Amino acid sequence: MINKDVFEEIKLRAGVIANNDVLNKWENNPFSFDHESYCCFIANMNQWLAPTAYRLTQGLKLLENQQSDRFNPIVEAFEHNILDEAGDGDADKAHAQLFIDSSDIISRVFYDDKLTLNEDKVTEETYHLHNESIALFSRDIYTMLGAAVAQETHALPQLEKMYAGIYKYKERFSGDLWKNAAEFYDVHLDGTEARHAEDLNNTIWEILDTEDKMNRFSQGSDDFLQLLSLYWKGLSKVLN
Amino acid sequence: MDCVCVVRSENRTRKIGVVSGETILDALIKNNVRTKYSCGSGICTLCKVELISGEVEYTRKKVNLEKIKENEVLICCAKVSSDITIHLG
Ligand code: FES
Repeated sequence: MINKDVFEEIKLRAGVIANNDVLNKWENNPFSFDHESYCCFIANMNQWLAPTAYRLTQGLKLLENQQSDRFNPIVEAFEHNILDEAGDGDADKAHAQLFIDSSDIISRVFYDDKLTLNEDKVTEETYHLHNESIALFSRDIYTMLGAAVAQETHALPQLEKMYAGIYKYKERFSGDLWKNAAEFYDVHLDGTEARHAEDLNNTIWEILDTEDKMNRFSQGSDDFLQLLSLYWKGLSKVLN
Repeated sequence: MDCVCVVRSENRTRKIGVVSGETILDALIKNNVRTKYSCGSGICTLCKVELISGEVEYTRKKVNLEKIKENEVLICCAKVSSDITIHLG
């Protein structure tokens, strides 16, 4: 398989994983969630999404330890992605914060109650994803790159489905509420998220130049997708 | 040098070990202590916590210190130089 096909295959598998019953239920009708299940959904999402940039930073540390200019384009792609996630240095605009702010507005508008993030509602599978995904991003460059491609290609369909669920009920958000609730999605779905994945696709293949490196890359993407698949299954169990 | 980090939060106090060279955030994650963070690079300041006592040292040159108070520390890129006590907001 040529490299671009490997990327497309991971993207396809990530899309299949994002096409799960939790996200489909949300996309089709967010009111099939009550306030309690919504808070449980968001508590788990938060546990998985919040360390996105941290994972990339672990990967960046591995890249920075290389003494070769060949890695520079990948370093730049990671730095750019991390900066986006970090809100360019504005804590209020850090994606992890925007997600919480957006989810709180949605909670108030849809369920008339504030968002509460209860750690007891976070599943074993979510904690497993949290810990093991960080471990994958810290292991070795090639495994880490596989995990990074899986993370970035899963992000877009996942966010599109989450956004579709709220977009249908846009008119319920008065004043600035829609703008504020949508901001987290706007900053990803304006092409930024697609670019994060494409930046990897445009920079990584040159260094994956042996069978062993390619095998480790595939292992990284497989393991990351497997963690995600388990995560969604765990969440489906508690929400259904 | 390995040090001890006393972690206070609203309703509990825990003691965790911080291995030489690792960041305070790495140690918290390893010990399943939940705290807020995002970039892990000293940019977003989401990981700031109150440093009650002890000495820390930043692992990165560019750290967004203008956005935090004097008694706060960005745990994602701070390693400990002594035993410390922090308070998670
Ligand atoms: S997590 Fe962003 S500054 Fe520490």
